[in-house]
Amino acid sequence: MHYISIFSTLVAFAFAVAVFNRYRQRGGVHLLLWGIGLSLYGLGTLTEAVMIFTFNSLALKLWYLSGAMLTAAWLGQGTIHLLVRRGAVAPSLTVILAVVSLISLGLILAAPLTSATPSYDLSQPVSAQYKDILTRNSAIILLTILLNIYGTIALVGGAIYSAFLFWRKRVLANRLVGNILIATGALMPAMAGTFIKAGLADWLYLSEFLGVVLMYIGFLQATAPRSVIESQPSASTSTS
Amino acid sequence: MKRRSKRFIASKWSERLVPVILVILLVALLATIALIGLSVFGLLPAL
Repeated sequence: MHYISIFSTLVAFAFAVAVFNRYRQRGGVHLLLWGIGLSLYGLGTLTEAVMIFTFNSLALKLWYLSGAMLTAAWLGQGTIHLLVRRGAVAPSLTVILAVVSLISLGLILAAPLTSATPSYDLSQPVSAQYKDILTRNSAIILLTILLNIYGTIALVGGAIYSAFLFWRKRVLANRLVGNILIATGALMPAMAGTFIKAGLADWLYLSEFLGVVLMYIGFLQATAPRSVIESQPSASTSTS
Repeated sequence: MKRRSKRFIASKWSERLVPVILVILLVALLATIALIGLSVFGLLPAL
């Protein structure tokens, strides 16, 4: 099951490249932020894959920082930029997120490892062992919780809201389906913490893989060129 | 240039299925947030 994180990494970085390409072609801060979020997703699964073969303290810290703390928040921030067009709300939140991310980086880099580090077991998932190895102070735990709540509500809630708008107006069926897939995919890694608590640490790998694959399919579906000539959508839409 | 409609007509099964899916997703989102919240208050092991 561990090796799934290698495939998750490939999909996440391919997805990030696709989103950055779309940003290069069309602009839109939301695409830039999603690209950053997906790069963090890929960094998280990459470090996870590295730790299948060897333990590295920096890899463990980057895994926690990117996977557990920042990915959801940056992906969600992209959706905030797409849906919240009022004043300077979204840019202000982005600045706050950037500052919080830098603080998180400092906290994680400064976090000491415990004496249990030498007993890291390569045959076991990192998600089942990190608590014994990485010393997380209350600030790290609080930021992890807040960033995940913020990111999950923004990303999943935003996709559900967009899908609901398309459904209510009965327009752009591809974006309706795309947003449903994005919401479903985003929920999977968000629920991974529950799997870990339930003793199903291996499920983290599967949920990460299914999550990024579903989001990628959703993105492709929502951004697929349509054969008909269309006017611009009137509603704010997730994934444009 | 002629503009064609971007509207779609929902089939009978999708009329029922889509709202159910959206509600399920919303419930799953709320459940996830609730679990994180319970962790905050120490009712579940911390993240």
